[in-house]
Amino acid sequence: MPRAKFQTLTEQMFYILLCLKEECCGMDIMDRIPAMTAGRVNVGSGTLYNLLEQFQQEGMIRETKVEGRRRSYILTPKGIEILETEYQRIRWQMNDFERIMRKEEEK
Amino acid sequence: MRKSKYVATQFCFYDRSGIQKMLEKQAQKGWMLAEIHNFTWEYHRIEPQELHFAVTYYPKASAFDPYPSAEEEMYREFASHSGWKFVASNAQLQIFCSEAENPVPIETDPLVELQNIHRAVKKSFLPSYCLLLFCALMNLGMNGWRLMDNFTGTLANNVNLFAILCWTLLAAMEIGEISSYFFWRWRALKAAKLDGSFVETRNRNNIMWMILALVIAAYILMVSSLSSKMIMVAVLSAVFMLGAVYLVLRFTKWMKKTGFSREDNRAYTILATVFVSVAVTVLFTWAIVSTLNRLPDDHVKDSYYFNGITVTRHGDDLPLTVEMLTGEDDGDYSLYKTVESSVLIDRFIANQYRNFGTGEGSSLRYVVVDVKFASLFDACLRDYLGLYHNQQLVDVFGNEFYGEFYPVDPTPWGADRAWQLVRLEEEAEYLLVYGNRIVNIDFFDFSQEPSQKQMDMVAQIFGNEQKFENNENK
Repeated sequence: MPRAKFQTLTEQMFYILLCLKEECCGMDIMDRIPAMTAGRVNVGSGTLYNLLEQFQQEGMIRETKVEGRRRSYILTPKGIEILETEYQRIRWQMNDFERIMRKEEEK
Repeated sequence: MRKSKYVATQFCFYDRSGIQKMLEKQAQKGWMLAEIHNFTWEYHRIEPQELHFAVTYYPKASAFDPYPSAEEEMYREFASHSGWKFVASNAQLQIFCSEAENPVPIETDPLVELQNIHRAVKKSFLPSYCLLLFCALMNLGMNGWRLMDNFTGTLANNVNLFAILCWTLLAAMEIGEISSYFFWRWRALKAAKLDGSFVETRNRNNIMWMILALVIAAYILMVSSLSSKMIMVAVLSAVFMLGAVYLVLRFTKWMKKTGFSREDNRAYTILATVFVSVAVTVLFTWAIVSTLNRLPDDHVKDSYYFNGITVTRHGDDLPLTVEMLTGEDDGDYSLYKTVESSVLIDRFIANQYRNFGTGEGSSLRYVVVDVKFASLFDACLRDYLGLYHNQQLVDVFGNEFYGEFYPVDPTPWGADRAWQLVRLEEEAEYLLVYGNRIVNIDFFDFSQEPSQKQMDMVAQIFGNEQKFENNENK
């Protein structure tokens, strides 16, 4: 059965949405994500531009202000819900990992 | 030392890997891309250096945009923020460069990148290639119909063969490019979903250049086989065609510089293409006809009046004439020959017919076909055996019938094989085979069937390997 779009998020999608918990300019996201992840995750400018457009089309974010070429966005309730769902999915994965891997170590 | 250069560049639209590698090599040699023109890429001199290039696609851009839109400028500012400097663009294709040692790539998600490339491809590459494929298949269809209608005549003409070659290559190229794209996309999507990797595109530039070289070589071969008049036509047609393309491209570029909107530019470009095509065709036809009319016709001997009309009389040298066959010469004939030659077939067509108003008498018509490849011989013979299959006749009783060649004894003709035409009755038209030569000869209005002496004459003249050439200077 084909997966719905954004049913699961990639790491880059996850962190872009996380940055938009508060109003943020699109370009600043490129600096915040590596700062947030200690350089582990980077988002290319082209990828960021396209994902912001897709998130906006899906109603996951909305534009808050435009200052020249600088546009700011923020999560919508739908975006928050999708982010929460992804967080839950990661938690379940983490719990399953700890349950299986730690159990074997105790043995 | 020159400060700029123009390089004829041929890349597939979505071959971002190949373009990046080429630009990096040029930078190492001290050349930086400055602008992308229609057929060439312009480079300016820089200090040789290691640069990283990124080729991306912005689907919302158009070749008709007078300037980048605000959104496109924002896209470029995003890239600039992460250290990528804009270099050049060509419609949806955007090229950036970075001096950093390990810059964060502009595209970091292969799936998002593939979606983007596909949106750009659907807008430009696919529609134009599909249109070209449609044109190629349509022309191949017309040539196919022409082959079915006149197989030997079509193959005896290098111009026809050149056209068939070009349209076949174009169709093969378009099918190859379109299927290559979808195959690459399928592999790339699979890899992106499996392990997040990006499948690089394969460079097929060598194939493109080989095809271009083949077409140019075939064109030179075709032109060199033409008569002097036809060489002029071939060269003029190439000049007019290139001139028309140049005019339209310059007009589009002028509209962009002047600031015409994308929609207006596209609409006026289409109108200009139609107008220039019609104008160039009319101009070309006028130029050819008026020039050819001024040139002397090598075939014309003199002219005479018949019923108030001036009729030209031709005086070509023919290898076999009515006078030779009958031993009589009353001089009231027009003799005309046509020689066609291609890499596959030589064809010599001769007509000797009586002048109008000179009373009844014999006329002679024959076609000599030399087939250069044994594999084509049977098809050419079948073409001539079916010469009258499409000419329906009706007898006095209303019965419909067609002319048919029936086998006859070839021995009197000194031939390998022989047929005689039968319509209502046996006629004095024959089909003879001498080795790889087919002779179709019509003794029109001869008072009796060909005598043995006449058959011997035919065998002597056509039964050897003598070539029949045009007497026009090349």
